[in-house]
Amino acid sequence: MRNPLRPLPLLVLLPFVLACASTRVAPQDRGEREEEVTAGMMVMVVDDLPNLVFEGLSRAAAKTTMVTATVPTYTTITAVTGLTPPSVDFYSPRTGDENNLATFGAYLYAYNLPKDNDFHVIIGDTPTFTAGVTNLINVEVSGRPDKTDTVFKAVRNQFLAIIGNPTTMSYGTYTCMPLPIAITVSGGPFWDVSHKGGGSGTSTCYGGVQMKTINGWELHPVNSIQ
Amino acid sequence: MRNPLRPLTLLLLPFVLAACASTRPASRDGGEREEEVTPGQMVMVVGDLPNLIFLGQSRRDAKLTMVAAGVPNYTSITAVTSLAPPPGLGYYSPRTGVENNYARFTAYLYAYNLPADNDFHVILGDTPVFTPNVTKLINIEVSGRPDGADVVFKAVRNQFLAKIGNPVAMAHGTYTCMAVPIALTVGGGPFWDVSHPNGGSGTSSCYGGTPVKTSNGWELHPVTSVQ
Repeated sequence: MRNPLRPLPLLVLLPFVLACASTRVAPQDRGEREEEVTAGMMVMVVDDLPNLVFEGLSRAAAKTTMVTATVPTYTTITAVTGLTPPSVDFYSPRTGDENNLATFGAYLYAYNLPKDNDFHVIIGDTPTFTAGVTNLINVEVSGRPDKTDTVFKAVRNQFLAIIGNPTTMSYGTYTCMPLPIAITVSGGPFWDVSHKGGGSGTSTCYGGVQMKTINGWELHPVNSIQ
Repeated sequence: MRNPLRPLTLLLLPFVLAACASTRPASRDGGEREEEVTPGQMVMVVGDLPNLIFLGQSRRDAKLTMVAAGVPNYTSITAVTSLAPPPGLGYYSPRTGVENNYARFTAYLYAYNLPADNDFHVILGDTPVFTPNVTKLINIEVSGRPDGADVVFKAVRNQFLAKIGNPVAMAHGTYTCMAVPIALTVGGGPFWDVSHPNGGSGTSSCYGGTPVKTSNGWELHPVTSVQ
């Protein structure tokens, strides 16, 4: 005789599966490809922001190598974004122009913290962002290469001081600056193979206007931000 | 004949439960009691910020009743926060006594968040930079809309969103810190929050972890204008 309770385990399982399916967790690409979270996604709250270690994979060695040049070769955003892209891939070390130093003044419009623990800092060359006019660049305040590091941590603390020393953030959610802050930033030009066509930045600020970079040039890592 | 795969279904259950447990959502109190999210918590990203409907329960009708703007009865944060708490207020009380008066003052925006009840919590103080034990704080709440037809509450939400750079998405419950506090002039009705009679609205996640928290249950709620 057929046991009428036999389908019960499956019926019990079903609500749990549905409950899990209703919470879309942000994709697990370590934040290197993906730029924005979208409405309906679940994101994690994180703390210990100065100490977070770099979790990315793409050109990891290059991203955690600060340039040592002391005299800037590039003093504007467009001087960096106008460079010729180097021939590099997922594993390439810093090369060519990437070993030079860029230093310039700019305005901070928005930032976020992707899952690789680099801060993405979207800056431009006009006091307020103006679509079609402002030249943008993403400068990345890198996660620490390891837990003994003090150099990268110091830069993270510089950046955190500029944004009000928050102690927690939600991964991936851009914060918009209603009054862009003037900053001076230094770092190494870096060709991001995950964003060759640009697209770093956000469409979640200033009413949803597209505020995204035009190609893969960044400063990465940032050496100083003041 | 016994199906050998039959216990497999039950064996799957612990994995499903474990996967669910690893994503701790923010507690489901509608965001009215809880003020802050904590590291490790999962929070939802929300859009359509001007249109979100109020989802709270505590003193719901009072929170959705705007006082008439006119000559303000209170023109400073301390004029509101030093009022005597209305006696006998409960979870369902309508606006009463001084809660029907109008407050309007200029103050500085230090931090804001969007709890799960869809009110914006806006933490203001009376000094250009927050200074512990000096700055007088108040939480003013830019309420969720009472319903989808409302235009009045939506207009105030849009006023506030314009002040913070018109974001179109936010993570529920995560405070945003204002590195450079913005001066705002706000109007609204004093409101005694029975969920926070001893204060505690605000955050310890800005300015290096310094508590930026209110001292009692007085708020402006709902806000009638942000300029």
